[in-house]
Amino acid sequence: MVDVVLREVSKSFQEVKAVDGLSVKIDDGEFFTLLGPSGCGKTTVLRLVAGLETVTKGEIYLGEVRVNDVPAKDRDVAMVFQDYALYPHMSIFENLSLCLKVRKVPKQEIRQKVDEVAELLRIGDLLSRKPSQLSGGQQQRAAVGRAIIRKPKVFLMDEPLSNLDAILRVSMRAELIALQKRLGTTLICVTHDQVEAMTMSDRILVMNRGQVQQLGTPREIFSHPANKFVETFIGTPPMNFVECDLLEKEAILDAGEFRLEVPGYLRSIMTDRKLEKLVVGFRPDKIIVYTRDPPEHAIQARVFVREELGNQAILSMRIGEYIIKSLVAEDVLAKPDDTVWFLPRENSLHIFDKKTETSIAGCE
Amino acid sequence: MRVAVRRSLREGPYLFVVPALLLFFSFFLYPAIIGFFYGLTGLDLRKGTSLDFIGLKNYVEALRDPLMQAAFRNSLYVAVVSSPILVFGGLTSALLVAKKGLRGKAAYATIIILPVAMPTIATSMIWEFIYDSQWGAINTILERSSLGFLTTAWLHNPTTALTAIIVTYCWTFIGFHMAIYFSIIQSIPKSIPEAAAVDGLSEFQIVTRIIMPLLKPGFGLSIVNTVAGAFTYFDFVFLMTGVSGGGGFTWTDTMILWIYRNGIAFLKIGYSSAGAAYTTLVVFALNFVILRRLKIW
Repeated sequence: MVDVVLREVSKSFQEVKAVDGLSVKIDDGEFFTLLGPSGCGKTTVLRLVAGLETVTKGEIYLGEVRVNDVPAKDRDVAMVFQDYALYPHMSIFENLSLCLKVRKVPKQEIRQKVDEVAELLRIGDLLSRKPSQLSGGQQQRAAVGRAIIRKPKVFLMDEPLSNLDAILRVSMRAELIALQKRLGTTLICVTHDQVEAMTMSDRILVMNRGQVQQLGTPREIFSHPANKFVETFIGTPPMNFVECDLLEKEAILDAGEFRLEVPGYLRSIMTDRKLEKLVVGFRPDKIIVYTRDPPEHAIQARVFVREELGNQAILSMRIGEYIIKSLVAEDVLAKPDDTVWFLPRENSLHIFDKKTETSIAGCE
Repeated sequence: MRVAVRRSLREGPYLFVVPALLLFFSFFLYPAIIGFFYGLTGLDLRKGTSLDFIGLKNYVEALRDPLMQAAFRNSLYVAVVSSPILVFGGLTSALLVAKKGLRGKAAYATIIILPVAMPTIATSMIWEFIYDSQWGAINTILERSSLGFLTTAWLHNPTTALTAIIVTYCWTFIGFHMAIYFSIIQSIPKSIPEAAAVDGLSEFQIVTRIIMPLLKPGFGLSIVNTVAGAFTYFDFVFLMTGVSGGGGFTWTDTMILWIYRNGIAFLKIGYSSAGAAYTTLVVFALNFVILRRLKIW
């Protein structure tokens, strides 16, 4: 159990920079998640820590030890692969015990440890089976078992839940959190699923194109996204964005048919920056939709699509060239082509500089 | 309606294997069975086409025939020598070629696989030049490095002739066996050896504990091929020494050559069929034992 430090780590594959100057310190015992779209370099980071790839530049430390030149087999990390990578010709017992066997652990002790882990993960009755005879969820448990059995310094998990069906994924998510807390081992998890990242992690590192977008707790990332990319990535459905000019005198954000009065607390921040082109973001669940009797400043729009979720619905509303998505209660009965009015909730606006796409102001 | 669907579901699968079965029966099983019966007759095309039943006479005589005993010994020798070379050579070549980031492996793979695609007549001519007693490459090199006492007529010396042919045979077919193992290695997900590396296995342990067990079906195919080949591979033996008959047929003739000589050259169909039946049985039995031993079956 150690902390993991990456210092200015870069990894290139021929011309492609998969990881570009990444520095981060992952604390001992932390549940740390690398979040980003596919191809963003998050899996490469994990493989660099595991020793399956070597860094092009920079340094990696496990605890006090610089591991740049330490081969994977000597790093004492454990990894759960996306496809689980169980050894197909071995029984689950052999899968779990191989790492102990090559370390010359006595047979008695192996038996005991396998039993312990099997009980913890409830796979005791599967030990004599081959991986191909197991369901996806059972294979996943076996793969986790293989990782935890030798008490490694760090756990690495590459999309551990992505091959499971929706219901199983939710329950395994909870189990993983509990397991990690119980074992207290540093865990680095890679996922493209923001819900997974939000629910499981102590801290999240959002990556895009090999670079760090934001590092923080789930709450920080959700409430104070550092830039437009992070904003789009967190939250389902994603945040709405409207490009606006700031009409300074009236403090109104103007984008043709979309005119929105700037709440008082934002006015000074925005006028101080002297920016004219802005992007305004607001989350679908922070919009009030009126089917009739709109208040004075509400914005008129036409319903485009209604997606039913059961207790809620997603309304896509067309206004000018924009489609605004809104999460509404089931009793908002707007159908396609109905005219509706909406207003983003006060205190829910996120303002970005259009040029740099970095956050200027915003708060939940 | 339901009955019809059920019936077609039950019979449908068999329909799909009919073409393969038809081929198998008409070109493999039927000749093998008919060959066994020819072996029970005195069919001799020099004397005519009469199928007079003579019981096990051919089978008994063939066993006593010193030429067949020699051919059987030779085949066994080819099997024992070539199988390990081809299996081990093919396997190590495949492992090398599959290894990540190894330089020159494409060139190596090409060189290894090339002889498989060469016409056997060309291969055997090249090797006849190499083995030539007067100006062949091997003898020339030996003489130049003052090892002249080792020179010999490689293909015309009873102690070296068959081994020389085996060398050519292995040189040619290592590429084929490499292809068998390589295709299986390629089909193993990359994450499996990676998981083993993270688990703490050395590269050698990954090969012996993970890759090799997964290659089991390949070993089966490869070994059956080499053992059967030792008894039935015709080309090099015939082309390099067989046309001239070697040293009275006993130095290099394998079972297939014995069958060929008796059946095609001497037209003693009944007698050669008896030898063919023995060959089929022996190859089948050998493979059965080996596959059982390796727990592939």
